[in-house]
Amino acid sequence: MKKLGKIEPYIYLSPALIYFAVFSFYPFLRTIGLTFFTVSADGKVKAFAGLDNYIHVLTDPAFLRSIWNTLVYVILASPLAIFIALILAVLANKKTRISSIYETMFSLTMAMSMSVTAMIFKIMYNPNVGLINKLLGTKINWLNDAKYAMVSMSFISVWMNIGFNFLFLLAAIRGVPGELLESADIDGASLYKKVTKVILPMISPTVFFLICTSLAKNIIMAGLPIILTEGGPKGSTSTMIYYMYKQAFGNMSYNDAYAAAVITFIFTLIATLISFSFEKKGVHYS
Amino acid sequence: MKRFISLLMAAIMILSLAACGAKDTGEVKEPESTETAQEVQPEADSQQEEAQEPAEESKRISDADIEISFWHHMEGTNANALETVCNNFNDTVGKEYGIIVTPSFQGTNTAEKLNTLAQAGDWVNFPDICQVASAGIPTISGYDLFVSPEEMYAKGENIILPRESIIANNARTFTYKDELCAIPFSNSTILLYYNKGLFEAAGLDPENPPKTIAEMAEAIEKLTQKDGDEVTTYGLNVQVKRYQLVNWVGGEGEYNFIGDNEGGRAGLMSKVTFGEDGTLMTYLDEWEKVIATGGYKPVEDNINEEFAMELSAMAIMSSARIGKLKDLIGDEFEWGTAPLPKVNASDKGGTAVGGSGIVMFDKGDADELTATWIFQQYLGGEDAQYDFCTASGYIPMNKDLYETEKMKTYMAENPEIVAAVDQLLASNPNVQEPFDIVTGDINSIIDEEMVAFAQGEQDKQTTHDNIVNKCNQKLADYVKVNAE
Repeated sequence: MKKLGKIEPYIYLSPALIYFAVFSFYPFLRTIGLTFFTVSADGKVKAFAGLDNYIHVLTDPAFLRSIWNTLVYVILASPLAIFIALILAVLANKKTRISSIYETMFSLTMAMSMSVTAMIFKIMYNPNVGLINKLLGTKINWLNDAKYAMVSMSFISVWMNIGFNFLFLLAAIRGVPGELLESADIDGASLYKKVTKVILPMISPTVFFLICTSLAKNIIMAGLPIILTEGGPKGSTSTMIYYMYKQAFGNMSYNDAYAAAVITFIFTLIATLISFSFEKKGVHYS
Repeated sequence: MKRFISLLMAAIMILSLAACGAKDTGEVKEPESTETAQEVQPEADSQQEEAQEPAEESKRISDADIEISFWHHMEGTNANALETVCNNFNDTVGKEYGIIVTPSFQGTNTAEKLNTLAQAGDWVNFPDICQVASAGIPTISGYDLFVSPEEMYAKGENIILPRESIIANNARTFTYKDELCAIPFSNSTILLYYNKGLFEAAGLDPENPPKTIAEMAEAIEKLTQKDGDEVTTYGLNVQVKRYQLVNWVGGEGEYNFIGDNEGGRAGLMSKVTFGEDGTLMTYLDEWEKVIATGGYKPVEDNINEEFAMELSAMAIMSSARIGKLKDLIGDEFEWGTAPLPKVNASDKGGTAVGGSGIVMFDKGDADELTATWIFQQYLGGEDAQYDFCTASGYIPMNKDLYETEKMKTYMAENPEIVAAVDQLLASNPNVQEPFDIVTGDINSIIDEEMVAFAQGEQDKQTTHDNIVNKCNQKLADYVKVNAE
């Protein structure tokens, strides 16, 4: 075994590398390659297309609307889900006899399947018989009015992600050294000061992780429009990946689908790079 | 350590060889072995005859049971009904022929799964038989493994479902380039659902629902209830998408193909024709009357539940929802179904057949193909159709079944389905949903334009032109890439 020497670490890495190469890197590179060709409905490459597929997609009003919708969705859903989870985690920080009950309740949303949640919200959003209009005393058509549909969908996403975020943030907050918080108490720091000056800097690596995963996850979201709205009304809930899905499987147009997939990847990459810039300034590893 | 690794490698190799050997004997079926088995059979048979006379001629396809993989897209009650049909097959016909069918749910879009496999050239993982929506037929019929019922009927072997037993309309739904590509299975048609109690309260005859769109508009005015400016009960709820529009326009006159090449059934559909022949405008002229009532709800939120809660007096939906509505409404109020109101009183076309059919694939084993063919036909047979349709609410596609006492009894006990059956049988077989390939885009275009029209955001002419031009653009994009 000693002879293995320098290659030993690579042997340990090889299963993961092979896995990623087969299921991520190869399909990814192949998809990029195919965006420069015309591909027929049966998946056969027919001709070199240059940038035509990208031009076609980027001049399609439906895709441009999908880009806008995705950005709106990410801006509405990602920060709010982390913010609400942070408040809940701060509230649940202190261990009590019944803490396991409310910890379970707060994190329960992550155990719910998307399709079940979507169907429950669909009934709650119903303009005539739904709970939300009854509580608010309104008559809004939450999912079938272009003005409200994306906001309504983002709210479902926030609700679904709170549990996951809460679990991570609670663990991180409980990991903050007690002496730091005691010192803050002795200095007379308010709860707001303690959270912003002590807790947040200490849990910033976790917040950073949640921001990165949340951005990536929300940019590639397609499940809710598939289940609830089919991208409507008037394309107001069509996201970039929903557009890709619809082109590939609803219209057999792989040319549009491949180009949309690569453009979505570029958006995700940019979002991740922006969040990494936040890491340099705001994340403390201590 | 070296010794240990050597021993381990040797053990793995031996196990691998053993596994390969076992697989070979289990999976590869040499034709000779069947012959050998048949040669040996007489001796065995003679022994049996001595013990038990007279011996029946065996229908078994081969000595070993043949396993058939069946992909479907049924869920809930429908999945249970399908499971029952498969179990009945395995216990009866399957036992006779030595066939075991294993159904497996593959999500709601099986054509999508098949297409993914086909693109990867992964023919090994294809099922033997698959339930698909009619829209997938043109693509599936181009797969290397695809075998059409037309070919099997032409061979004339092992026929247990006569071709003539399939209702012409249902057969036409799954016909592409003059070839029957699937055995129809779970079929439905579009219907008008109406609340008889609300009809009576509005002074309308509950046994005489509207027959045309114009009559429906008059009924909507009487049925709509308001509290100030707010509508508390809508006269009609339906969101006009591709499914609804092609049924209305398709039924105009004798029939209407919607697109060129017989709506994609004779070849690739490259354009819609409902603009140039004026049928779309005729429909919009009538539909404008519905919009003008102020009691029409143009978007569907929870259409089943809202109808069940008497929030809409009429709704237009597939007959496949009859079972669901029965569950929701129970004995709360009396309701009925009626044929889809026509665009013009003189229209004779009727409506299209919706739903899915069963396609089969030849995976290279003659016995397996025979077994698959028998099961494919069984699903269209009287017993399977009766069991499946009575449990799920779909309309049987087997003509002979309607002559049986059990079906007559079922229809007498379930009057809601009578309108669906009558409408289907009275429709022209040429009235079908088109094979428009870019179905997703066409659905979105029609949906968006019709909602905008209903909500007063655009006029009739703009709606007409947008639907025609946008649909044609999408079809042209597809043809440009995929035309031979």
